[in-house]
Amino acid sequence: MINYLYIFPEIIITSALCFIIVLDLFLPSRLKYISYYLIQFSLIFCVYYIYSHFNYLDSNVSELYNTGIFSNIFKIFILLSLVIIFYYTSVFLNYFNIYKTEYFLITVFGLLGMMIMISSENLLLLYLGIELLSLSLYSVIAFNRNSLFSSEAAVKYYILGAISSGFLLFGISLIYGLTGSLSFNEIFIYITSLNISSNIDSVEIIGLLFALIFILISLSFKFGAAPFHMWIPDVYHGSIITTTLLLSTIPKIAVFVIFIKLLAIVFSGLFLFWSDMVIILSILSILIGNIIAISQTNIKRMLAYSTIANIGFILLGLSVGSVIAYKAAMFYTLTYVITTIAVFGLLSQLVYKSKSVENISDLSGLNSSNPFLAFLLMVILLSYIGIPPLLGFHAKLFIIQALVESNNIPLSIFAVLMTVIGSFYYLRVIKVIYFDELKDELLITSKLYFTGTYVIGLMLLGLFPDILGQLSQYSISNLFNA
Amino acid sequence: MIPMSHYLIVSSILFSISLAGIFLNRKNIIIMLMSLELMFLSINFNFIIFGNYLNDLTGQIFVFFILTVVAAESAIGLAIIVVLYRNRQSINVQDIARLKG
Repeated sequence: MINYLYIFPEIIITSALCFIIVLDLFLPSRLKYISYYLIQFSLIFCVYYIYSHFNYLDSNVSELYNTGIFSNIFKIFILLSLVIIFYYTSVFLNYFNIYKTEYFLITVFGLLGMMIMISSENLLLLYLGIELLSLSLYSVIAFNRNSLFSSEAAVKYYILGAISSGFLLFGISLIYGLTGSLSFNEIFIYITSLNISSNIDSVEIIGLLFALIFILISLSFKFGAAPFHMWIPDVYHGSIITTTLLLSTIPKIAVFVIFIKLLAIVFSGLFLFWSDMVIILSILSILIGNIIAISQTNIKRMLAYSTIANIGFILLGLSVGSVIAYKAAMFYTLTYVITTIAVFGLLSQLVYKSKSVENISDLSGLNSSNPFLAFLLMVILLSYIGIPPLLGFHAKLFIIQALVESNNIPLSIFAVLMTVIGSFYYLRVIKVIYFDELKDELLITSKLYFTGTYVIGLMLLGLFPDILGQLSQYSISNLFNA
Repeated sequence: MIPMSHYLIVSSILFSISLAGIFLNRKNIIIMLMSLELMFLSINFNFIIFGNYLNDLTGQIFVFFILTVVAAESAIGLAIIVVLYRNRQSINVQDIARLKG
């Protein structure tokens, strides 16, 4: 017997989507905002449902679809982030007169894909979730169809994304051939039953390693880790800023969940092999991200490289393999997403010469025209660097702490040094804001009440890091006990 | 009876050919789409062989899922290429180099 109540959140989203697609056709253009509010309402209702049925959803014992506490915390986080992203998106699209309800609808399809990814306990379901997410992202990137940059970015992302799903599928097919199953649990049992140290040259181990490498390549591509990061700067640069906001935040959470589920649980028997691979990925990401970001003049490109560096830090946490390190990695991911929503959301509200902000020099002298805005931007950038009372500091501290506890001193020194190098390009933006001459005044698309509250919330989270810390502690310990 | 390794070698060769087709191709995006299609077909081949070898239906079912998803994916890919053509009047790979930094 299938109990459909366990997947009720997904059913809410799907039925709301089908309803709003049809409704939107019959709405005159001055009433289009109704469908926007309906989408927001269904997202918030979904959060409410998950929150109020937390323990009930946890009692699901399905081998296919996990709705445990770990998944639900991430789902709530993704849904709330999407509500904020939609707020910024609607403001932006309305200001530039390119508002279309389809943008939101396609994004919600992507949300559905992410929810499936987070909950999947089966490789087939994982593949379908990833594809649903990528297919909607391809079309969202190409949304601004009169822009050459947008369509170019979409083509690049499409080709590389399709290759990476090909790699994922190849890895899955090898795992299926070796273990005869697609279920995470059965693969886990198969791997732990192998005696790895005694027969390291056997066909099973080599085949599993082959599959692991293929899957890791594909996932680090979706994550944006270094040797597979080529698409990130181009796509961030090419698409409109709210799409960049979307791309750089919630898909990363979903991929992080997949990373932690696959590496820390399913492939935990192969820790010896994957920890080295993840360390290489993270070192390359931190190096490439921080060093290339220094030479960027476009702010979206600069933040794209900073994303790569941040991903490197998350992977550094994952590579340690202890529960504390997973907790630190989760803390870092949540921090990264919260901060990135703030910075891109704020930038999406700025207009320079009737276009959205593109270059760092567009921001020059922001302090003399709008001191409050300049202050908000400064707080966010300082949090990225990791200045003590802010959230970014605790995130970096936990990662480095986990590294030191596992006696990995060289890597922790490397992480600290790269943080210092990385602070240069953030500080340069602050210098441009505060000390450069005012060129053209920046306009704001809407009042800053929401952004102001959000950034103050960010500061409070930094003063009380226990809120996020306990959340990560709670969900990670639930993941490993379940 | 042909041993399974032969089938696997064929599918790996097809996979490599499609990868080479994507990375060595310097002319046309349509050819890239064809290579992608070939890549997914080689993976399907893998699944069918393993399913047959293990006497398990899951592999065959997975193939149907892949076929459907890939069809949707190529539809979106062709739509994106049409959008690019409208803006650029060309679908040459060399011409897609405006985004740099």
